Amino acid sequence: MSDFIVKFLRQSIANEVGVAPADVVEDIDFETLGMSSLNAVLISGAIEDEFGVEIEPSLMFEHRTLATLKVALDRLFEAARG
Amino acid sequence: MAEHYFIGLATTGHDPALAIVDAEGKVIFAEASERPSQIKNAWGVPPDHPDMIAKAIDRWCEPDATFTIATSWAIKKEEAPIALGGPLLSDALLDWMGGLHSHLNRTAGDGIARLRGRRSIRERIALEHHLCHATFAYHTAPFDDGLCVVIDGEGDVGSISVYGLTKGRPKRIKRSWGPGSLGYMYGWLTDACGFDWTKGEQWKVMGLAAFADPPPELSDALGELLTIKDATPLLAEDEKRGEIAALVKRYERRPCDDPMKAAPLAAAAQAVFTRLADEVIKAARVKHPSDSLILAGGCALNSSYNGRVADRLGFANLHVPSAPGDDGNAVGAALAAWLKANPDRPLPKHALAGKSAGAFLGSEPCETALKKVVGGATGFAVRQSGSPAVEAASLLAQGRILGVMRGRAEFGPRALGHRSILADPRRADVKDRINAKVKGREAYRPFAPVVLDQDTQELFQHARPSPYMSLTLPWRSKAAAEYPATVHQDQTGRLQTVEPTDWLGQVLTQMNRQTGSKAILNTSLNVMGRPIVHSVEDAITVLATTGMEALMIDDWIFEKAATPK
Repeated sequence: MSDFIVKFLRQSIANEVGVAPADVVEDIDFETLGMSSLNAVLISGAIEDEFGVEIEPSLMFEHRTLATLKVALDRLFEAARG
Repeated sequence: MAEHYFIGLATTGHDPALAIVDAEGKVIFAEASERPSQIKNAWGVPPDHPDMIAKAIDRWCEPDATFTIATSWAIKKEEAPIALGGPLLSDALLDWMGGLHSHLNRTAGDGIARLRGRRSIRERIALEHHLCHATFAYHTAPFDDGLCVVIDGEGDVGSISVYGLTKGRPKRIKRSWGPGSLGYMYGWLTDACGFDWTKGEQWKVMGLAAFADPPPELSDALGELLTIKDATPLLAEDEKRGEIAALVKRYERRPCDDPMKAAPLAAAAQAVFTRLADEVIKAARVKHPSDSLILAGGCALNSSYNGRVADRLGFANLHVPSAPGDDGNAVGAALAAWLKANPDRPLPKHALAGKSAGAFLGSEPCETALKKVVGGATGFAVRQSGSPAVEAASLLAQGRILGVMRGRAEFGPRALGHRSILADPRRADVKDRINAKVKGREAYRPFAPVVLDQDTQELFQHARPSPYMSLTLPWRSKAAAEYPATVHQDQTGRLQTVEPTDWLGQVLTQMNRQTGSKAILNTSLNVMGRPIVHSVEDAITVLATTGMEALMIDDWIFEKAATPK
C-alpha cells in the first residue's frame, strides 16, 4: 500500500509543481521544491480523489516532506479502515 | 425536561439567515436576515442579532429551552492557506468578505445567549458549508434518492461538492479543491456587465442574456477560463486569464450605460456557464449514477439553466430547493446538527417536500401592527374580506396591481404568493406599469407567471413542476400570445407551479372562473434595491409610495381610488 501511495504522491507533486518525479525525494522540503500554497491545495484535492478519504485542508502544510506526508496518510487510511 | 432546539445560522457574510429545528428534526422556522433588517443581502448582519430574532425565538422556543448552535462553515477563513476567491475578486473585496466571515463565525450564537443566557446554549458546532446546502436540498426533495451537485462561489476547500444518500443521510462523494469557481466566474462577469454581484444582480445578467447571441470569440475565450477535470473546475494560468480579461474588457459596460450594451457579454456568460455546469454534472453522475438531479449552492439560482438541464442531460426528476443560496444553509446547518445528534436516524423529509406551501417558514404579519394600520391608514378604502381569493381575483380582473402579504413569509429569494405583487398577465401594459411605477427597475426585466400544476403542460414546453419559481421554461406560442406580461424576450417564463388548494391556486381558480385566464403575474413585494417587505408597515409603505393600487394583508384589503384612464 505504502509504495503505491508514495508513487502517487511523487507523481502528483511533480505534475503540480512542474518538476521531475525523481526530484521529489523523501526528505526534500516541499518549499525547496518550489511548491506554492495553491499547488498544495490542488494536491490535497488529488489525494482525496484518488484515495477516497477526507483530508484536512492543513495536511499539506503540516507535513512538508514526502516522508512525513506518507506517514500521515498511512495513519489516516488506517483510521478510515479501522 | 426542557425542550431542545437546533438553531442553524448561515454565517457566510452575505445572505445570513436563522432556522429553528426541533428535537424531532422538524423545521419550525426559517428566515433570511435581510427581511427583518431590510438590508438587501444583509452583508455582515449577524443572523442571531437579538433585535431581529427575539420575536421568533419567543414564539417558537419555550423560556427554559436549550440550544445547539450550528454554523455553516467548518473552516476559519483567516486560517485558510489561500483565498479561494483570489484571482477573480479584488483584494479589497476579499478582505471585506474574509473579515465579515471571521466575525460572524466567531460570534455566532452570542445573540441567542444574549436573549436566553449563556446556559441555554449546550453546544456550538461548525458544519461544512456544502453539507449544509446538500442537507437542505435533500430535506425538501420530493423523491427519495438523487444525485446532489452543489455548484457554488466557494466552499470550505473549493466551489463544488457532490453528494449522495447513504442510509438516508447525505454523504459527500467528491469535493473540488482550489479557486476554480463557476460562481465567482459568473460574479466577475456580472460586474463586467456593469452590475454588482454582491447585491445579487446575477439576475440581471440572466435576463439580459436573451437579448443577444453570444459572440463566438468571447464564448471561446471565456470557455478557457475554467477547465472541468473530474468535476473539479481548474482556473486558467495567470497569462491566459490576462488575455481573457483583456477581451472581456472590450465588451464591458459601465453602470451608467444602457443595459443593452452588456447583452453580448451576458449571453456569453450564460452560454459558458451552461457548458461548464453541464460538464460538472456529467462528471458527478459518473460517481453517483441517478435519474434524479438535485441542484444546490448559489449557482442553482440560475433559473434559465435549471429550466433546461434535466432534459438536456436526461434526468427524469429535478429538484432545486426554495433557498439554494447561502440563506438556505441556516436550515441545512440545523438539520445537519440534528443528524449528528441522531447518528442512527435518516434525514427527516419535509412534510411538504417539493410543494410551494413547504416554503412558508418565516414570520407572520404582526396582528397588533395590522390593527393599528387598519385604524390609521387614511387615504385608502379599507375593508375586511370574507372571501379573499375571490376578491383578489376580482381586483386582478379589473386590471389592478395588487400587493399581497398573507400568513408566513416564504423562505428563499422568490415571492411565492405570501409576499407578492400580483397582476393580470394578459394585459401587455402591466409589465411596464409595474417596472416603472411600482418597482422602479429596468424596463427589460421579465415578470414571472404562476400557473396550476395541471395547466403547465398546456402552457409550457418541457413542462416540469417548479414550486419555488426556480425554473425558466419556454412558453408554447399560443400561450405566449395570451400572457404577454410574463413572456421574456426569448419567449420564456420563470414559472411557479401551484396546486388548487394553495392560496395562489385558489386565486388562480377564481381568476379562471371570472376571466378565463390560466396565469397570474407574480413578482416580489418590494421596490428595487430593497428586500421583500417584512413588517406590516413595510408593506403599507410600498402601497403609499408606489403605483401599486391595492394591498391585501391577511384578510384586510387596502385600496386606492381608481385613477381615471
